[in-house]
Amino acid sequence: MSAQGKKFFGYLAALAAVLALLPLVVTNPYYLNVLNVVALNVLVVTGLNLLIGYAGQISLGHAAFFGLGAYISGILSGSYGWEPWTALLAAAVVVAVVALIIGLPTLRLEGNYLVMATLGFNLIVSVLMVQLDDITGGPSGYTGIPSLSFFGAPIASDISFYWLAWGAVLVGLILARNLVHSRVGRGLKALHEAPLAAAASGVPIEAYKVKVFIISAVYASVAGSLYAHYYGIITPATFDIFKSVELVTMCIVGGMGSLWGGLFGAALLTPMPQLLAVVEEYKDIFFGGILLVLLIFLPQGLVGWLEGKRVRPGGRAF
Amino acid sequence: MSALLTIKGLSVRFGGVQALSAMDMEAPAGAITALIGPNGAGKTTAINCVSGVVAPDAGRVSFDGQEVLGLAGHKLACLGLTRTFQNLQVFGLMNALENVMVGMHAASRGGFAAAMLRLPLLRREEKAIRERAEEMLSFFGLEKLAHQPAEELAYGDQKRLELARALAGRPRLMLLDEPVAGLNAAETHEIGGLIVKIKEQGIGVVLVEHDMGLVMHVSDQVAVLSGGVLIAQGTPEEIQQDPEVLRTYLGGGEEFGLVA
Ligand SMILES: Nc1ncnc2c1ncn2[C@@H]1O[C@H](COP(=O)(O)OP(=O)(O)OP(=O)(O)O)[C@@H](O)[C@H]1O
Ligand SMILES: [Mg+2]
Repeated sequence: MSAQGKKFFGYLAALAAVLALLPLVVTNPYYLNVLNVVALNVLVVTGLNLLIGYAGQISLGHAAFFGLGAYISGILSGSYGWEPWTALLAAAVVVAVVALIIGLPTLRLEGNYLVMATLGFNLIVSVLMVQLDDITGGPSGYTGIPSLSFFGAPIASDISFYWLAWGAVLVGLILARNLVHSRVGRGLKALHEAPLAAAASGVPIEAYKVKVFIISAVYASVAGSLYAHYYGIITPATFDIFKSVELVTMCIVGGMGSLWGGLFGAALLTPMPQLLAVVEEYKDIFFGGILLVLLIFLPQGLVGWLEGKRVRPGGRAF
Repeated sequence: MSALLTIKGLSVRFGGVQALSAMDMEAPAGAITALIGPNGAGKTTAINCVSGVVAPDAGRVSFDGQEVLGLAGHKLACLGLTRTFQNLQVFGLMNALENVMVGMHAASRGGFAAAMLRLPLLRREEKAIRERAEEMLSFFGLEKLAHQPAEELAYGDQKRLELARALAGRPRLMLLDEPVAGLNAAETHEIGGLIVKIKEQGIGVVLVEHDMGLVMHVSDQVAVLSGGVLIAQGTPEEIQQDPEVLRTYLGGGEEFGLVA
């Protein structure tokens, strides 16, 4: 294994150890719940980071993918009796197709058309969640979503979901890390830095951008489905455009192009609204403000700043 | 020698500038074909058309018998046609080794799924990519700089890095846009030697250069562009006697490094 690989799996083992011991200390269900929400955000941000930090494209629609994952999986299992895991997979497939449809026309254009397209997409999805109330339950939300189960045992308690969600995070991190340190990952970094040279080297720029966008949307979808089966109830407000801003903020706080950065960003920002009442009240201003301050003073994010390095898209994440 | 690259009637207009007018040119495999001409003659534009960066208004380009105009840039690399850039285009934040590894992109296959799952195919391929990239770095004398970010390399080393990246995927034809511009005489001599070695591997080279000493020394064929028009193509000796070429290069013989 390469030195980089050793370092990554060293960190990963440390993370796994902390996660294994944490429930011994954190027994209060309220705090366990916070940890679970952190896990789901980390999962979304990990996918988002592949898009923003490596391919250099920004999405303001990831809350919508998160929401589609939640609603599709919730409705299929709640209203149509699908097995929850099957519903989760079906949701991921649908989201992948939706991402393909959004990505194909926008990512072939130069410039950040994806931002506009995903922004509009998130607004539309939010409206549909409210308006299609026969299916979605409207503004008050969709209820009665069954839990996922593990060999017949329901994953309903905070602690059992804790193992599932953080297990998913570890898998998500490994997959993302493998991608980043591969031929494809180098291609993504290359197309971001010098598109002409990347193309001249054989990197199919458009296809790669579309594919990484789809992958990042699927990360969000899986997290959304997990969310739906955990809470059993979902409301449209959870998946609005402000949630998308929140996710991008987490990604940038931690450091674009650093998978550990995404973890820190999500771990740092997720609990704020839940733990501090003031933040809860002015949540959207809070995240918007952080984003603004960061982009001005700390564009490399926390991890980048700690490493004392300048902006490194897809740089030495590990 | 049958032509590997054939350009016919290539015309490009940028606003009021006719950058190329019905340009014809051929480049055979395993030979160095120089493309020379004064500043603004249209040399880079010609390279850009062939490599899919600029869409010409008229003309045809075929590579190994296949029409390539309109193909996406990355497809050309897969066919075995690579290039370097007059204005450096290294991946500045990636290290030198990774830069060259990107050059192996067209010569490898593992996709997103294989990468995420680290399938055995991918691991084997990754090893081959790394070994070839290391081989390229030593061929160009960059092995000590393998782990330096490309942006921190000296200008001459970045020039070499581009050559290494373009050669890594074992292309059949390389388009080199001023590979020694801005380099001193010793570096120019060294890179000239390496370009000849590349040719000796059976790879065709199209060499755009202003350094006439180098051009006349290493080229098998020379094509001369002036104001977007191809005014001559022939052996270095023929080109040096061509009255129209001599008129274009006002300095006459000295420009071609004939004094030595
Ligand atoms: N993208 C562009 N837009 C407008 N004009 C262009 C563009 N690219 C090139 N030109 C013009 O086309 C002409 C040919 O330029 P080109 O770069 O091909 O010349 P060149 O032979 O490579 O010159 P040099 O030796 O200086 O590199 C010039 O007049 C240049 O200004
Ligand atoms: Mg030029």
